[in-house]
Amino acid sequence: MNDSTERELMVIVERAVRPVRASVSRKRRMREELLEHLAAVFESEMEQNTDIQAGMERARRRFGDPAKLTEELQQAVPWWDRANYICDIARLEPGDSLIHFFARLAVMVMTIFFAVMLALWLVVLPAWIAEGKFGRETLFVATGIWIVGMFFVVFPFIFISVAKRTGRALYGEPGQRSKWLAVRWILAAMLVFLPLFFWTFAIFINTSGWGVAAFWFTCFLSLTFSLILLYFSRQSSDAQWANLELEN
Amino acid sequence: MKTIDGDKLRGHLETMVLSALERGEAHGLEILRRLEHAGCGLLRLKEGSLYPALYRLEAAGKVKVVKEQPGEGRRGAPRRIYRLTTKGRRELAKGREDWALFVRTMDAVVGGLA
Repeated sequence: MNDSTERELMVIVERAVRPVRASVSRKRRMREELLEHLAAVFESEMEQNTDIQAGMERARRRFGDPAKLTEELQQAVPWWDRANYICDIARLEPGDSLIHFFARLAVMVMTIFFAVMLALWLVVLPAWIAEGKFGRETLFVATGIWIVGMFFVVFPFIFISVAKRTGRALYGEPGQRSKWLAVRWILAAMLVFLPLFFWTFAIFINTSGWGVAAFWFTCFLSLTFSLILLYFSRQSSDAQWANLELEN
Repeated sequence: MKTIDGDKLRGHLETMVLSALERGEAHGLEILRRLEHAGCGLLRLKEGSLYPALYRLEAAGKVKVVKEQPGEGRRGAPRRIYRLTTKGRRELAKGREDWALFVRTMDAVVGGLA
């Protein structure tokens, strides 16, 4: 089977799978399995016929209506699949770099840690208010939560969200692709990163000399993060499938 | 020759898949071949529909999946082999009872035997 035939088969599969709302790993599995099946169907059709287009048409007919298949696939996605998003983060995929994998893992672990910390804090807070215990201890815990939350929840959340949108703008469906949109997302990320970094470091360092130097340092950090974000936006998109043009 | 298409099979596909897997573990295409063979060529399934049924059965613990790594003569992604579980066997037995009841009832109503 040549590349263009395989691409045509991928388009048939992608028409059914792309609209399904499911985790990346589940959709990847659907794509792989359906493509393998469709390729086998096409090959069996080609054993009886030498015309590629006629074989493709028959394979398409045997495969079924993509819109109907989308509906059926969506119904087969369990409600807990959204939790699989966490597993996607923690799974070492073929071709993944170790740095990429551990960065995802660290974000996941710290998100859970932050959630537990926050829950504990909310549990003890009413008691502390009742006892009038709003001293240095509370401030210390609050600062800790702020720093942990910023570094391991707020930054990664913005990072992943913008990376996905940038990825879509650069490598998404042809109609949605726009380099200017990607540039705007990167600039927006920089503008968000800048004050967040600045305030976080100001709380962390807590010195009066933390002025101009901090500003340049946070500028540098937000630029670095935005560039890393560009790299991640490519990594996070399933480019081979995402680049398929689905128009007739 | 008249055929039986996917719409008429709605609601029975999962039991049919379990029944095909009773003969031994298989990947999607093999399951389909078994169904077509058992249906003497009269069954006309929309083949893509087999997979949502398999995913539902897997989510319900009625089948389990084993990955077969690409080996000699086969390249690409690992192939998924489906295997019936104990829960799946119980479900198949229940499906058969339901089917027998359905056939008896429909035969009495539509077949004019009553």
